[in-house]
Amino acid sequence: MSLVVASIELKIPDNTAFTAYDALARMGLTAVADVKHSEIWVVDADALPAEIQSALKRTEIIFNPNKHVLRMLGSDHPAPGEIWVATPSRVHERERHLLEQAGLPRVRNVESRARWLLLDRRGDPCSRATLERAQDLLANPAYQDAFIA
Amino acid sequence: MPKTAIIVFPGSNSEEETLRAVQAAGGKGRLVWWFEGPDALKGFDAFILPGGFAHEDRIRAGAVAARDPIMIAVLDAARSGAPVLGICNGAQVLVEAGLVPGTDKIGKPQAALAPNVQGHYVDRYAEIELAAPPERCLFTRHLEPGTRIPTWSSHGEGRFCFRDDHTRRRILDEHLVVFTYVGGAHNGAEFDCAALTNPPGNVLAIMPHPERAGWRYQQLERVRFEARGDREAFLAPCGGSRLFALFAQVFA
Repeated sequence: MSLVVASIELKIPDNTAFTAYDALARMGLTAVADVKHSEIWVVDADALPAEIQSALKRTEIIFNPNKHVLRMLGSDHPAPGEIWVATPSRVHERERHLLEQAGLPRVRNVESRARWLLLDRRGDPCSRATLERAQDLLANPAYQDAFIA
Repeated sequence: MPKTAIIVFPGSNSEEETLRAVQAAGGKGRLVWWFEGPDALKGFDAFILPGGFAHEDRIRAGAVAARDPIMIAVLDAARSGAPVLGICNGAQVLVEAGLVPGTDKIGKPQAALAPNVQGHYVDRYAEIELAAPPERCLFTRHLEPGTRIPTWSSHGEGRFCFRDDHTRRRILDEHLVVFTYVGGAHNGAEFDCAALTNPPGNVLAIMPHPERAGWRYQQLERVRFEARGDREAFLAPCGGSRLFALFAQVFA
């Protein structure tokens, strides 16, 4: 039984990240010089981490090798400069089923989060105060939960 | 007749139908593009945010457009009592801007149009019913209680949900849910909400599309069939166009 936290991000230009950067700049968040965006998948299954990673890579609605890069993360908590946005009402039954079809014997749970990394001009993570302001754009508290380190 | 600005964002896709519905109801209007800026909205009496996928729904439907500079003029106009109607994606923009339900500081969303309970896009006919007292909202004051209007529901993120119980209580106490879905919300919206207003009643966010059911030929077959053999009746405004007639009469 393993719990795997994987980040899937684009290796082609990320229009969503650029739109977020542009909107944050218009909101007056000039401390943000770069925005990176990825999807975090948290998979709990009766399999080794490498088997879960392999199943994720074979599930085309999650991972497209032509445009995505998959990285395994050591923690299911945001790092400095990151905002993770969860949508508790989002169900992943289809993804759970597809991961089982991709070879995982028993998938207990699948969750996803949007991960935003905000960097300043030096390439360092933005301050907590900046992240708290950016949350206004990146998460709607009426149905989403935002997490900051 | 109010002069209506129909505000087009990159990715809007129902602006022409909306303008046509306004004009068919005797109103005057023009399309105003987001890049024209807030000053372009001077001289307009009323504002419509049409459906579509502004900014490709990046981040969240309506989230980026709600923070576009042109919305500063819409927020100011709404505060001063001007009629503002948001349809589908336009409703998502109004919710993200905090204009509806408008129970807290403008700019802070108290509600969301979350992904449908089905988890995917849904496109279907949906009849909506006036659920609030007609005088509650500027656009419905000439309707009879319980009036039903045909619409087409076409969205992936259309499930009205509210931030907390305090907001829910105010919405119920102040009758801010103006229209509900007949037979219950197919998308899982709280209170079966199809359209929501703000406390003054001058802003209406409606999720299904009345402009796509504005002519008899856009109705269900049984309604179209009533006009068989009568070309004029077949091409006549009916159904959803009623909402635009009410919109055009706001200043009457």
